[in-house]
Amino acid sequence: MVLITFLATAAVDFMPGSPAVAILGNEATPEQVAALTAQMGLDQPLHARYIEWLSGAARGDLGESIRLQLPVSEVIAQRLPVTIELTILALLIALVLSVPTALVAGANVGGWVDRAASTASSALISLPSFAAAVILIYLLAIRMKIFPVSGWTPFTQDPLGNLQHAFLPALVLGLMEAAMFYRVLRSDVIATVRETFVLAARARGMGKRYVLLRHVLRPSLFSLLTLTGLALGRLLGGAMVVEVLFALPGLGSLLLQSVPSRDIPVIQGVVLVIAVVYVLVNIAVDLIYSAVDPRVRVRSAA
Amino acid sequence: MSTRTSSWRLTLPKLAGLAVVGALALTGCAGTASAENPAHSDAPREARAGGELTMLMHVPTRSFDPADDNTMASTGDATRMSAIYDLLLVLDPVTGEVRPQLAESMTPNDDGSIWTLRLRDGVTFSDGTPLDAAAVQFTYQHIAQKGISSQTRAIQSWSMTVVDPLTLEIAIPTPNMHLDRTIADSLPFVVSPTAVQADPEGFASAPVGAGPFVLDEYEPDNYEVYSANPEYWQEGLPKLDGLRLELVPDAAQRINTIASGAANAQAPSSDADAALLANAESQGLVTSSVAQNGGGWIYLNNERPPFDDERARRAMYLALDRAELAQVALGSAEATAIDTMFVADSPYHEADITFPEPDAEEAQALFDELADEGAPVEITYVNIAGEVNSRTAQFIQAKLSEFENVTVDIETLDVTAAREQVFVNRDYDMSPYPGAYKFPDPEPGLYNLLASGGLWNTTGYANADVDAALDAARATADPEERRAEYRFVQEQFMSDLPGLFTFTPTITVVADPSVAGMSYNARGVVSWPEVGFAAE
Repeated sequence: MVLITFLATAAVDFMPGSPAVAILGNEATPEQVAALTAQMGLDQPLHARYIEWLSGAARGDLGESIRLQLPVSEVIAQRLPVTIELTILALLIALVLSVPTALVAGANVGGWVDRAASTASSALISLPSFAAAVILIYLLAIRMKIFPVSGWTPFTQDPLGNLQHAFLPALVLGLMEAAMFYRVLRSDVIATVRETFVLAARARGMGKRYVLLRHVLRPSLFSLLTLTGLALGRLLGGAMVVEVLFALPGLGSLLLQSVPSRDIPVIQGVVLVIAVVYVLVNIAVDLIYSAVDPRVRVRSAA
Repeated sequence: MSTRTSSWRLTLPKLAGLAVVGALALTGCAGTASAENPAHSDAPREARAGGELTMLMHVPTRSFDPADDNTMASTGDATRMSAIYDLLLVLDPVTGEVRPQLAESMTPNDDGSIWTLRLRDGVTFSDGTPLDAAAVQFTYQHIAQKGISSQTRAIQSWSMTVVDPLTLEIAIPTPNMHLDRTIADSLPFVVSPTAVQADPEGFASAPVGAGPFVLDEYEPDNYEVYSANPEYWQEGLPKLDGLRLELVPDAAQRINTIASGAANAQAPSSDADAALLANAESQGLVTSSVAQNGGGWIYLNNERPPFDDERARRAMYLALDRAELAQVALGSAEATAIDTMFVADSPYHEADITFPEPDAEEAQALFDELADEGAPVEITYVNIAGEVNSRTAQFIQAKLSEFENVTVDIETLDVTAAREQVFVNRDYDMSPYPGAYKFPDPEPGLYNLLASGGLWNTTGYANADVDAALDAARATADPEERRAEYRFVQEQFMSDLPGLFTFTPTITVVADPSVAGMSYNARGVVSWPEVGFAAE
């Protein structure tokens, strides 16, 4: 995390255009820019500024946004719920769409569900999120007027309105993930149904649906679990395009709005949050692994 | 009274109600703003009272303190601030004249060295304190002290005296018969001194003004909610009960959001991407554009090779078909290049003073001549990210590649990086002005562009005769004298060609058909009191 936040800071530092220029505008003189840069303490060496930031972060103080003139922790706290909700909703959509489809397709290779879902997943994987967004906005928001085109309503203010605003962007994000989840789970299901314990269960006369849910699903979930963990991190950090497109006040749009103004404290803070969440999610995935498959616990113990 | 409402986007039947302001009958001569009850250019539908309007904004709110604003952009903080503070004076986008709003008048002495700003009686801020001469003085001192506004340096040279509660005298070191235009263009907002002093840090997010609305709710990077100011100085205004300004950065999404009924309009802008406007019209929205003097503008660095040589600058005009460039840049076959510096119905229009016509042979001859002298035209085009800018840069690179002895590299930067490289450090060969450079009147826009040391003179252009003519025009209120001086400036421009003017600029409004009474100043900053919804 230290390395990631340092690299993020250094990357911003090496970008042309200082925060002072972003504040002072086109008519600034080099002298004005230098004076404001010094006033903000940005004339200090990178390592000195980073160490100062790090010691502040260790105390829970992420500094103050240059652009918004608010504590970074406050700004992130306002934005994080939007991104988390979007991420969770996108994951739910992805799982709801992919798991049953992959189970059916994997158990009936070559069937119509398999053919249709595989074609759809290929199309979705090769479709950029902004293109998917444009199509879905046109169909569901403009033509059918089911969902709002942009904006956000907090859940606490209006739960139904919140879901209406969140669903379309979550669907855009979720469809991409669903396509990947489907592919991975399908291939694991195909492998699992060939296992002897599944064949034995079938031979004992158990129903196909029962075997799929009871014997095939659990051992087929490992790759999906890994992918879900990765997807969580990816969605948290990579929902930028969708957040900007749908004008959602989340972390992604915050990051994008902070880069042009070279709002270094906010960029550092957002990167830190994403890194922390990423690490926590990976730890959680490892724990879930061992809960799902006792062999992982055995290997760990050994 | 004439209007310069462009025909290529104007859909008059639809526009019957969208009073794209502007043209205002003024009784005073230049340098005097004393007219009441402005007239609108296109017989507008008057807005009915009531309703809440949602306008979509292009960029996030940075601050509600006018001292923090260095752009006065309609798509940014200025339109937000206009709701809170109203406008002291309005620079009309069509006529280029100044009309009073919060101020009653602004008049110069005989030589334009002292200006008298007269305020309306009985205007109060929403905190109940009076908007008086001391408040205006405080505001300008506050702006100078913060040092961020583009006018900071100018204000620092002013000497301000409160003559009586409603009268402020501004003495300026260099006479200027058109200071009212600078005030209207760049310094139209007045803050409540009491509120600033009570919370200097918090004022930027909890502003207090005398405008038609008060800020009720502010969610940074998301939206603001305003309600009508019950103490607003104009009886029966504002028309609207409330206002919501919402951030939607994506241009296509703004159109979609309005078309879906979730918003009513987007902030007026110079972003005239033809495809987006066509999309808006196809979805039943009303679009209108007001053409301006000036245009798409590309800085040529006159301070270093190759553009320190007039032949290299002329070769750009000769090599590029600017009509084609305009069409490519704006994505419309109907887009036009600028032929003259002032549009046809401007008092400063000179039909016989035109930009050089494209002439490939002559251009090649100049490129060869420069190469033979050991100074070939090898340039880096510092492009500012954005659709129109990128299409312009690619067109220029592609066209110039057809010539011998010319090379163009494109370096695309975001606006902050470009500002530092181009505007602050002047380390560039060729680079576009972000948006279009508009000047409804030569003051202050053309002055700032061409005068040595002018705020926007990033080309480094320096011509003592032009400086003298600009100063002479600035020092007179006589229309004929002004015209003569600006004629000379235009002749000199065509001779020196310090930069490249490209497409005709417009301020464009996109709204749903119910919006009425929309008006804005020369920067496209909305004047809110009359805005509302048409009667059913």
